[in-house]
Parts: sequence; C-alpha cells; structure tokens
Amino acid sequence: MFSPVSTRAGPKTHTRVLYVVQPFLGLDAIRISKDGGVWWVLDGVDREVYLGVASVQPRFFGLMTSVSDEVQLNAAFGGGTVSRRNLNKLAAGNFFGHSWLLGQKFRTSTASQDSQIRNIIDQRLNPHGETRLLADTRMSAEEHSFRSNRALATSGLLLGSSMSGYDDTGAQFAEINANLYARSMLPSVVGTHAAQVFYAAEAGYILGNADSSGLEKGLAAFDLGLLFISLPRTASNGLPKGINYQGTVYRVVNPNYLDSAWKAHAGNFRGSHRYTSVGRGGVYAGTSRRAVLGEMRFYDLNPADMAWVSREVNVGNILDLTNPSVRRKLGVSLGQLTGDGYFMTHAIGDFAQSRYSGILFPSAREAGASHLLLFP
Amino acid sequence: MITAMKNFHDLPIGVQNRVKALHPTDYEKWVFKKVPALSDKSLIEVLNEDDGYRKAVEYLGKVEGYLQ
Repeated sequence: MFSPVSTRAGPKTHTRVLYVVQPFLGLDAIRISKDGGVWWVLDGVDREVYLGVASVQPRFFGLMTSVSDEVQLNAAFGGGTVSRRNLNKLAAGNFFGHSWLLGQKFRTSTASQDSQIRNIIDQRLNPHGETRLLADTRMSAEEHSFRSNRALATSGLLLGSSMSGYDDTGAQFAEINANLYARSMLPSVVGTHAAQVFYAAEAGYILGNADSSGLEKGLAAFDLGLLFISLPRTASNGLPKGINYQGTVYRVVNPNYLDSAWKAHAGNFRGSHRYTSVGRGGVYAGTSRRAVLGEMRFYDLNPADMAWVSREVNVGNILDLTNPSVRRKLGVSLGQLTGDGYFMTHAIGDFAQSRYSGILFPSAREAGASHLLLFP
Repeated sequence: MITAMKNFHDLPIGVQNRVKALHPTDYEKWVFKKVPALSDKSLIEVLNEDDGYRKAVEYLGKVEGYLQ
C-alpha cells in the first residue's frame, strides 16, 4: 500500500533522509520549522516536502518529474522511464496507465524510438483515449501541456498533478497548467492546491505531484522506491492572496464608444485578449498613461484620433502578477506573461476569473508599466 | 488570377470601413505603415500574403475590442 508520510508527522526520521538526498536533488537548502515542518528551497522557492514509500499497488498511479530540458516519465515503482525532450504529455498516460511502463526505458529521440514510444502509449498506456491526442508531437510543447492538463482536468478522475516541462529555451511552462487549469476545471474535486490532492492519496486513490522543477535526479529515488513530493508553499487555501488596488486607471477608446468605456461589452467578449479568451470579457486599463501609450504604439494608433478616459478605482482581491513572488507561487515567469502567445495568460485568466476581482499585470509593451484587468 | 492590392481602395470594402473608423485622419496612408502588431509589416503587405485576410481581420478585431 502506498503510504505517504508527511514530514510534519515525524520530522526526525524523514529529516535525516532528506539530508541524505539533498545533494542528489540539487536543493538550495532544507529548512525545518519549529513545529516540525520541513521544506526545501529550490530556485528560490520554498517547497514543502513530503516523503513516502511507494510499493506495488495497482491503484497507485505513476509519478512524473522533469530533468533539466527534457522530461522524464517515471513509472511509480522504479525502473520504468520514458525520457524524451518535450514528452511531458506522456505523463497523462502514466497517471492513467500506472505500471505499464515498468521496466521500459527509452532515451533519445530517434524517429524509430518516437514511434516505439507512441505505440506503447497508444496500445498500452491509455485506456481512456486521451494520450493519442497528448502524444501528438507535432503540436508545440506548450500546447501539448495545455491540452494534456485540460484532458486530465476534464477526465473527472484527478488530480492537481504535475505536468512538468520545459520549452526549447529552457523556460518552465507546465506547472501553471497543471495547478491552475486543473483547479479551474475541477475546483470541487481538485480543491485549491495539489497538496490536498496528496492528502487525498492517503485514502488511496489519488496522487499528485506539484513539483515540476525539483527532483532533478529523482529517478534514483523512485528506483529505490522512495517517493518525494514537493509543493510550493502557498497560502492555506493554495491561492496567492489578492491585493487591494487603489489609483487612477486610463483607457483610450473610440469616441463613438465613450459611454461603454468601463463596461465589458459584446465587442470585448468577442475578442481574444491577453487574459481573456473569446467569450471571457473584461475591462482592460493602464495604471498609467505610459502603459496605454505603449499599447497604442504597438497597434499603431494615433492618440489624436482617440478619446482618453480615466477613473479612480479602489478594488480588492486583485491577483497581482506584477509581484515576482506571486509569479513564483504560480510557477510562471515574466517572459511568459509578456510574450506574444496567449496560452499561458489565458490559462491564468480562466483560473483567476472565478477567484479574483481582476488582475494587475505587467505591460508587454512598456517595461515597468502595468495594466489592470477588471472582470465583469 | 488574384491581383495584388496596391492601395487603400483595392482593399475589401469591409476592411476599408474598419480602417477608416480606426484611422479617420490618415487611413489611405496608414495602410502602408509598418505596424508592430503585424510583425512590422503594413496592413496592405499582410493582406497580400497567403492567409493575409484572416490575419488582417484578426488584428482589426483585436484593436476594435481594445478601443470599445
């Protein structure tokens, strides 16, 4: 039986184990709180640590972790590893397929091995019919991650798991999808944090791993039958705390639409904007004129042709993405928020819409400037 | 054979109207201006590309949504 043991329950024994594995995991530090809690610090982020021992049990699903710029998919009981750059979507198969990969090992990415891996996925891993989609390597890695997490989240089975991955530039992109998208899709099941999913595992049916950057050499640990789960330390409800935003915000509008300048109108819902996909409305405003001018430059609009409007706002529960610690907590980088693609930002917007009044986010056009999105 | 669009008046009428609404003072010249949001191409360049109409309409829709 899989028996996860929180280090809070017995810090001494597990702490010793953690100190032993620390060099192998490449951690910055391991910290122990006065109440016996243990966490480690990796990439400047505090992560709670849980330690358990895995044993063969059919309902114990697989666990995935990532290795630098590639992704490893580990069967839970050691020995089973599929490793190939950007194959993070295979984790879905692992979660659903539990020990199918036991004893299998693939590395590199030759065409024949790609084909071999795909065959295994198609034929053996996934009775739920999702991995065929997830295994399609023609999509971008980011889209894969998004789709795979959406598939997982909508499967009704799990999870809050970690779909960890790195894009070709080495930037981590997947954690946000796992932790946010899954939560947004299944709030009642997934709860507010993967940690809760982990606790549910004690009932014997779910396992979540929210760490997509740690455990760099975790394979050895898995091979030994030890299971480590590290979770970003977050607020008790698992969400970054919303802030109160007070100040003047600015917009430019077509003079014909002055009356609806502060409303989420039909045109707004129809468009795909940075944090609101089609069908998700919201009012975007700059927190400075400079922020608005940056947008106008990008779209090449003449300020003289437009009408400027401004208003004082005082609104609570704003997700503050300009705060680096909030971004770290969500597992997302500044570059991911300000890039050209909207995959990540739409996932965040979907997640935030039902939990916050709006989002304060960094400008993609004007360094140091920010915008405020208010949900309808 | 499809003839390349050379000036504002060659644009589809729907696109002309939308550009006029966004750039009432200089729409005829504006269609030749490089736009960062169009990957530093002009609207007329984009419209003359394969799949250019879709890109142009997407851009216009985004801007219109922003300005409403």
